[in-house]
Amino acid sequence: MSFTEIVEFSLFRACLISLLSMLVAQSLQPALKTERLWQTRLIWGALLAPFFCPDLLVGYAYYNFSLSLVHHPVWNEWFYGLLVTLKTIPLATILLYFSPPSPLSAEAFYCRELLNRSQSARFSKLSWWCGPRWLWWVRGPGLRLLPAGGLVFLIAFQEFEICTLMNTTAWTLNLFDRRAIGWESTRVYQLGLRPLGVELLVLLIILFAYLKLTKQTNKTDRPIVKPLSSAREGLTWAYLAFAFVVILLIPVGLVFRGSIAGWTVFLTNSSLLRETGYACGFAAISGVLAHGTAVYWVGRGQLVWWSRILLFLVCLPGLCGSFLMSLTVLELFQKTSLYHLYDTPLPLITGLYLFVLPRAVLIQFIRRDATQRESTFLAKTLRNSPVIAHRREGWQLCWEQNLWPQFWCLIPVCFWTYFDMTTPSILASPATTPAPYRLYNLMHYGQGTGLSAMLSATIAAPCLFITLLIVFLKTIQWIHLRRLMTHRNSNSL
Amino acid sequence: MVYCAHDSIYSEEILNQFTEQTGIEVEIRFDTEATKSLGLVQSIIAEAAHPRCDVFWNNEILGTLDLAERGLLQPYKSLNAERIPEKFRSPNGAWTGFGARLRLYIINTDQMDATPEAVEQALQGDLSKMAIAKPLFGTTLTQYSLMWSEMGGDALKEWHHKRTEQGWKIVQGNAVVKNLVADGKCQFGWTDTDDFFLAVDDNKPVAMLPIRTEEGQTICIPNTVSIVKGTNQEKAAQKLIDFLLSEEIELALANSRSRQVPLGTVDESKLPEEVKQLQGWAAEGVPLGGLLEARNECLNWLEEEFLP
Repeated sequence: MSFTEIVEFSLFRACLISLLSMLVAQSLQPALKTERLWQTRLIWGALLAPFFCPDLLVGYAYYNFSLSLVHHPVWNEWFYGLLVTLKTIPLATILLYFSPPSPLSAEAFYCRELLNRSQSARFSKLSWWCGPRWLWWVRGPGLRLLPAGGLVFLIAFQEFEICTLMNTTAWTLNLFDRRAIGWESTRVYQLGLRPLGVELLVLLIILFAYLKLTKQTNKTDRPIVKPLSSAREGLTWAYLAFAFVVILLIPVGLVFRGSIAGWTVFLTNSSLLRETGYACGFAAISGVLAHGTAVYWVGRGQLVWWSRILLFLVCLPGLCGSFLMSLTVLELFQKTSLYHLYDTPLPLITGLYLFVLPRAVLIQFIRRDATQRESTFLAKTLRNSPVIAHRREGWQLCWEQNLWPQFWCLIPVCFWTYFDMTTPSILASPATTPAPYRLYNLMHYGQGTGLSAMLSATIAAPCLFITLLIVFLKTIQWIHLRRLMTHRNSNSL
Repeated sequence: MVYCAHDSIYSEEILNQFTEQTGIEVEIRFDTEATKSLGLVQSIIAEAAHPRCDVFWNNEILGTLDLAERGLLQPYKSLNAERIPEKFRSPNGAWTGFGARLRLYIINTDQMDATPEAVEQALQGDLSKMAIAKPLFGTTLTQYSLMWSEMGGDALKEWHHKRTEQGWKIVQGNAVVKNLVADGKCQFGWTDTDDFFLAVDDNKPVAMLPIRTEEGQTICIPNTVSIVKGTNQEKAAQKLIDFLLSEEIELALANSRSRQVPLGTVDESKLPEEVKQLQGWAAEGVPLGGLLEARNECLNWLEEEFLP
């Protein structure tokens, strides 16, 4: 296949994946708000688990299965498509859930139907202006789907990590092969312009749709969600169980089984701990930087047009995919006066920061729209109160409404940087190679018990770190709360 | 700074041993089976203006020849290099070979006989159960370059297209070929001795046969070690080269899971039996020193073929 054909193929597959993801995401919406809290939590948990399962783990788990399809390459492509779809459906569902409502309400559609049914001459004259039903759909509910669908498309179109392990057809892999055999960067860029053009076009559509949505809609209008019928509820649970098993349970089971047999690898592999430390460090630094940038920009309230454009430009490198972005950063540090910093961790931190920034910004937009401003205002007012007890309660409220949710916004950002493979593969300094990337390279030799054990440790390390951090923060909060209670009691006495 | 194309699972221990013996700290950048690895040769070329690498331990020879041709290697004639036969050394000391691998057929013995006749017969018919690594990279590229040099470009193209029509599977790397054959998904394929012995250690039903050129020679691909021009760690780099070219290291590589074949004289009693068998084949190896031109022409064609 020529490069153009491969781009077209990747484009077609990404369109199919995003279409399917959006269809499933749309039908999952009613399930996200049930009357029972435990059920809602369970659904969100089951939905998000596959999304946060590292691509590294998924690709590794299905490596052997993919090999077994060597005589059926078409089935291998379909299976790869299925895995990517199962990974993107949760993203589509979350994005759709937090998308601004459609500019055309259900009432507006109903009125239009009434107009169409009317036989009066006056209304029939108007019908040309009203346009066909699909056009209304595009202006209304369709417009709401565009930003989420576009972002899902970008994720599917840029996918790199699973496809290299499964050896499927992808423009990213093809471009990397060209680079590996010695193509100069300018030639790679020239060829990369085609997929980049596609990505930019989709980004412009997303931007246009999002701006139009935020401008035309009333954020207090939420889409009307019909309650689930028992059949659809059954289908929802079936999907959630299927995705959970395929993307999480089977990979975790395979790796865990291998880990038991291969734990002795820890006795001989002294560098794993150090490399895991590097990975955690890079993830924390890049993640906090990206998160901080996003909080700063989005926290400024309603952005003026030039701020929006500036924010878009800063996010652009990451939105264009980590491969071309990392290659540019490499050139910058290799061939300009920045070469003194080439051997330092700075290129990798820069690359990871640019890679994750768009995601951090997206999370902040979602959070901004989901936050109840009244409680934020109340917390701010209480913090400025002359009464000490009020100030403490203000801090407590601020913790619960702002700081604690922000902590949870930071976690996925750090998580993505920790498990990104493309950026370290180009920018990592030899002295500070992150563990996940090292393991990812070893995975190309096939599955092994020692490798499974190392992978388990690499995945468990950040989870353990986050758990300890949560315990630490909760302890601080508890101590603070106890002080507050003691203060209240002494006042009342 | 050492750029090391030899698998990290074998080479890291050796380089750590060097640090223990000399007290010289070594930073290592590995190249791997992964396609995502940009290729250390390409990195050295890209970094030519501001070299980052001091010593390049390559696991094949053609990339090293390329670097030597571009003038990016600094000659150094180690005393330990005297042990190595001349056909595995650069005349001016730009690079020296040590611990070699052989190209071979890996055969699943549950599915076919491991004899030259059986392989020859299999090559005449349907090849959908044969696997090779993509010849754009690594030792498969070396093999193709050798075939280009021996058969001529047109004949190789015809040969390759015929095999493709017969349905052979072209996969990402030699390790994948080994996995496919060891697991019985394919009957046989091309790979290297180090990958083959991994399957042997996993008790897979596999056997090997050396791949031979038209003139009956084997393909023996040495590791090569060289100093990158512009290094500011010249003394330390020379010490590392002396260390790698020592008998002790060739024996360590021979006794590792990869069973590398010593090229220099070693104490035979310390060699594993499998390596003794390989030594005979390695002695029949075709010289690879003059293959650079063929490699470049062949790569141009392969690029058109696989990356149109």
